[in-house]
Amino acid sequence: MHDRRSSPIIFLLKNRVFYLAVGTLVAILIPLLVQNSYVLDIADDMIIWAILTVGLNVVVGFAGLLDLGYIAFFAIGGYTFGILGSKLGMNMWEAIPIAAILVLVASVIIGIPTLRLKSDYLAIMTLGFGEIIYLSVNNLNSITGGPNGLYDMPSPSIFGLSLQQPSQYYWFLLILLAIAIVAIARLRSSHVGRAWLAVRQDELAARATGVNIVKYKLLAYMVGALWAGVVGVLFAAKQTIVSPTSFQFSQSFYVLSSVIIGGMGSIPGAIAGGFLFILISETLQGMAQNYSSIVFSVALLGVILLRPKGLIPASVGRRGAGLPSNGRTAGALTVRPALATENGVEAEVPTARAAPDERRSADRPARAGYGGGGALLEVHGVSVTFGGVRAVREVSLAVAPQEIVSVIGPNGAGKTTLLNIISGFVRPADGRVELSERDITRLRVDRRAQMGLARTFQTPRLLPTLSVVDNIIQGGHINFTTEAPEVAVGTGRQRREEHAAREEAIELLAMLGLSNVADTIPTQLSYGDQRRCEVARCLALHPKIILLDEPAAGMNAQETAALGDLLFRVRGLGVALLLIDHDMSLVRKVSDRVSAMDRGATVVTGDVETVLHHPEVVRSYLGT
Amino acid sequence: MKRILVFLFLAIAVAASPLFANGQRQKSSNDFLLGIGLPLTGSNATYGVASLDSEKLAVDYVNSHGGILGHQIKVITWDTKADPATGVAGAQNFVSRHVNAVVGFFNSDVTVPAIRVLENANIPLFGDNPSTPKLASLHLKNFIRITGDDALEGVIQAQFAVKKLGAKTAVVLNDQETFGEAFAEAFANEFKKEGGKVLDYEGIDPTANNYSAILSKIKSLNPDLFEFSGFYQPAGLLVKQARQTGIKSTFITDSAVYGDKYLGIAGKAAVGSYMTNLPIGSATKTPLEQYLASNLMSKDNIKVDPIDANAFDAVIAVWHAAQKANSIAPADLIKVMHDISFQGATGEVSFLPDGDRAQVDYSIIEVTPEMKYKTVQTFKEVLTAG
Amino acid sequence: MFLQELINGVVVGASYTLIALGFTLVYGLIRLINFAQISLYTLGAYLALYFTPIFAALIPVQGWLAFVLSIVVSGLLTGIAGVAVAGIAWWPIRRAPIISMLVSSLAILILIESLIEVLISPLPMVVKPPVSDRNFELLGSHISTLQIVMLAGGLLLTLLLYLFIRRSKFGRAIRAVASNPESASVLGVNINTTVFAVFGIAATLAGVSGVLVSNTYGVANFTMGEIVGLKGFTAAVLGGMGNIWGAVVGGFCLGILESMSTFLLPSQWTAVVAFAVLILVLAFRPTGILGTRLVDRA
Repeated sequence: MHDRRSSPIIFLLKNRVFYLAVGTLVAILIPLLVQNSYVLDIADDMIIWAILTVGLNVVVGFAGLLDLGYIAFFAIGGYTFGILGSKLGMNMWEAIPIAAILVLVASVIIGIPTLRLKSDYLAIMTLGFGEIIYLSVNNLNSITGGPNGLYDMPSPSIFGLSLQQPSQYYWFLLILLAIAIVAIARLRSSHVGRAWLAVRQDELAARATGVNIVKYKLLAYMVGALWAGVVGVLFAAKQTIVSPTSFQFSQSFYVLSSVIIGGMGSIPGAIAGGFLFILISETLQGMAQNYSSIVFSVALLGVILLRPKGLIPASVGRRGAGLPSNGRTAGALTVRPALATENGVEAEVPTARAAPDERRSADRPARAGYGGGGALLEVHGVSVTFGGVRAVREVSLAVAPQEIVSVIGPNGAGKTTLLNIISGFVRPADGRVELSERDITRLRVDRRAQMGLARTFQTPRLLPTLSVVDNIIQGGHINFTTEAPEVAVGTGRQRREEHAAREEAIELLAMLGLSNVADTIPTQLSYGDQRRCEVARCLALHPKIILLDEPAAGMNAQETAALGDLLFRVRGLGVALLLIDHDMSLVRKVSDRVSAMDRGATVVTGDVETVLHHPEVVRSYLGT
Repeated sequence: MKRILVFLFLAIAVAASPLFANGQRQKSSNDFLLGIGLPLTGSNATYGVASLDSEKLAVDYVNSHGGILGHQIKVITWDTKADPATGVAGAQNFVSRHVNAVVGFFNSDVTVPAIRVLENANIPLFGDNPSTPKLASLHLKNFIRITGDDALEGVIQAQFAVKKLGAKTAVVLNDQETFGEAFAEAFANEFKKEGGKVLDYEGIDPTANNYSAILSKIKSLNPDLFEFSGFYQPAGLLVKQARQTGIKSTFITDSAVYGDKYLGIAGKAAVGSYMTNLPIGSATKTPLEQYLASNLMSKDNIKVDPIDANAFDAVIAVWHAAQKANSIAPADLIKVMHDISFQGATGEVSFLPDGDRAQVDYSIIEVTPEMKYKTVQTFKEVLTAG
Repeated sequence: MFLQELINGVVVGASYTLIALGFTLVYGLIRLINFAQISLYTLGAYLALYFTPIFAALIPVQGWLAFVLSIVVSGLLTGIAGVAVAGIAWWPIRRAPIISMLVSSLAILILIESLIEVLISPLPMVVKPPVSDRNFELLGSHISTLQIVMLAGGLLLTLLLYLFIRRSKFGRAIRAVASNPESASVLGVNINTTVFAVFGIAATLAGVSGVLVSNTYGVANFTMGEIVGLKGFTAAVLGGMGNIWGAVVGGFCLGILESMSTFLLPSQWTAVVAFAVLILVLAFRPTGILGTRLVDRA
């Protein structure tokens, strides 16, 4: 049988780099071979549209925000050059940075009230802002020229050569597109991209790993706006006129269609969608009726219903450059001394994580790896009521550093609610929660994560389209100190951080015995493995304490025993544990202390045997 | 496998696309290639399609009279969608196909960038209806236009309002689009120059259907007349709702409103309203005007309006330019285009050095109680170079 | 003077209320903004353009009867279209993330509008109601017959809807599904039928609104739903999304606000006023004036 894999042609066609190379070659050759100015004009439009699509893809595809008013930023860019050019004689090169700043400011102003809303209201709000911008440029005759637009901008020139032909603009547009692709691809394969993915796929998991949801939504919105604004300047210069007709809602709709048809969340998809849009529009050119709208709305509907991932789907499970997951560094682990035993002997922390100073940012309190001193977690008399039922009634609890405390009780006792209060997903009506002697009762979930509080969920919440190792790396989100601009440029510091995080994740996987599944996606793992991955993800955060919500659920005796050993190893790394579970063998094995709850209140807290033999506990929960 | 299919699909799409189709059609050297760029779809479609019909009629007329210096005119059309970017692409397309001349583009904001492309390629533009004064101020050598500019209609209206109607106060409204806004501004300025007072000047939303708010304002200001510049839907609604709320002020509007639809929407409220137009029903019609009128009536059952007539004459102007230059080369046409003169469907046609029409015939018409249009005054306006 | 403004605002507000009802109904049930509704409003108006002359010819003397028949038939047909839209754009992806549903609803909106543009006409159409539109003087202000009909129609429809939701068996089913789909299905309510029915009812409301408004003003064009649709949505949010009386309150408040604003701002900015209201409400009091409710506590 002919081995298809060895056929060189098949190999080429399956390899992404091939497409990239072909695309780049074609892009460079076109203006050299084609002399037809009409074709080049269309090519220019294709590149402009591709930049818009790639930009909107960050907002819609990466961060999952349905933006129906994107073209407003394109308008701001175009009109910045229009106004400054025609009234002050400013040239295009000077207008670009000003347009960039204006567009970023506008995206912050629009974003702050808008991005907190749910998807549907967010969509309408962005639509509203888009219309406001359009109406403003159409009506403010003295500033924007009103419906007539602005014509008198100086023609741009470079090194004395005046830019008037489509072929001349082509190169600048192509360079802009290339920069956009590189910067955005870099963002996507960094902690920023993983944070965006978490925001889009699982807000709860995102917050629990310390991702500031609003900040990252705003960041995506700003990145998208930036590219639209900059290409808006080039668009206005090439057209020599900027008028409101180019910036109506229909344009926002078409860019959105291009993103979705091309492939939401996929950069090559966005480019393909952008190119295809112009090609199809030009093909429909000259038809007596407005068939474009029909064609695109049908195509959009078709894609959503039949192939929601789009023409070129975003790749799943492979994020960013980096070391192969079971590569050279795995060997380094064998040099490590043995990790913790049941006696809680302090283990040596793997060297990859021993230089916390590099990862500490100036405004965050220094956390020297694991652990910390004093009473670690204190809960004082918290209560909360849901719909008339008092779910938690004046519960108090304390966990010392490296202590393992279990909370037990029947269903409905309020255990998970208690966990949610401690982790910040629920606000208590009364009481206090303190972590390392700081009051965190009203603190946001992601800020608690920054302080070293990690948790798992009753149903494991790993991000479904990231590989296991990438999920772990995402868990260490708060330990990254580089911000978006550094990531986009790809400074040495950012690359080192990413590399170190990846190495650390690989070691964590090895420690948990999960190295062989590093590159699989979570949905292909057993529940037990998923739980262990969640624990690994918690460890990536460098926590002081991990809250575990029924970690043994659905496990058999063997797996439960292994879980117990794992928990000891985790404790040995200097982490305290607070767990809820129904499996008494696990509780007996690992707990230093136990707290029993019933109907929202604490029944008794103490050492294992005392609590488990307490008559109330036996009556209400354990039974005969 | 799927990825291969997608790649093939994209490759075929590119190959079959207009990139290689639209751009490469060769023309036979015997034809005079005329590019016509108009908004055939989108918000101005009705005017674009009407212009195209008239322009095609003119082409038929010229072709049946021996063509241009013996060459038959072959038309390539381009739908600008009233969007500047699409218009520019159209101009580029015409250039790449080596047209001899271009007629178009109806919308002022499309014409301005498109004409620069044509200027760079030394191809003449015979403008039909782009009426912004801006175009003349650019002093382009490859441009003439049949329409008077916006300012002119507004000036004439204001003159009529003050001198014939004796109006002293006015409220001026426009639809915040290119034509309406320029027109209203010209009206307001001229009205003030003639000693009138403009009590309020604002734009309205042409897509709205309820103007009660602005009409309340007008009612409280009680002007002698209120003026609106724009198209027929808002004009009809405005006058109808004005009469419903008891506003007695005279209503005056522009030539774009002319037609049956205005009467249909406004109903009886249209009686007594005025608008600018070409002279209608005048006894002496030029031969071309008769030709156009009878053909439009028999083909589409519509009457001639200024937009149709301007479009028609734009093609006729191309014919005369070629005759004067005794050549069909674009560069030669450019040299002579400002010097031609003829009797067109719009009357006496000649041009100023900056491309503007030298003389325009306008009239003011009124809607009679029988719901018909009647000319009440004609103007022969002679323009001077601006 | 002030009374005229009030009347103007209330009349305009009635058209917003009619649209707001449809939005609030669907949102109250399945938390989805049904963009497609905007085009169903337009569809209703165009259907009536076709049916009104037919009925007027069949029943020559009775203009009002012809008018009512036309409204009913157009409304029902639009309702069927609404159910069809639900079948295409909602049912197959009902478990997908909300972005998919929003986008497909948007695609349907553009599709229906473009079909009307291409198949019927891109130009504004004259609408001739089969009844004469007389003007009334009311304390120095003016209002016309059809405006009164639109106003009355809006209030009547709201009342009917309210009674339907509160008193009828099907209304109970709607409320049950709105507050807790799981227990509703346990109790034997067919959730899917309920949702389809609500889409149909909302579509009928939209279609009837389209007929009423286009006849009151005498024009129709294929984009007529867009601005009114967004203002109707604003009215629904302003009054309280999911709250039926909220649609009324929101509609009238928005209409009056717009009327009053022309004294401060030139009227080309009126649309901006509506958007500004939307943005301010969503930013500062997203539950609206009467508070967000599920359909159960209209």
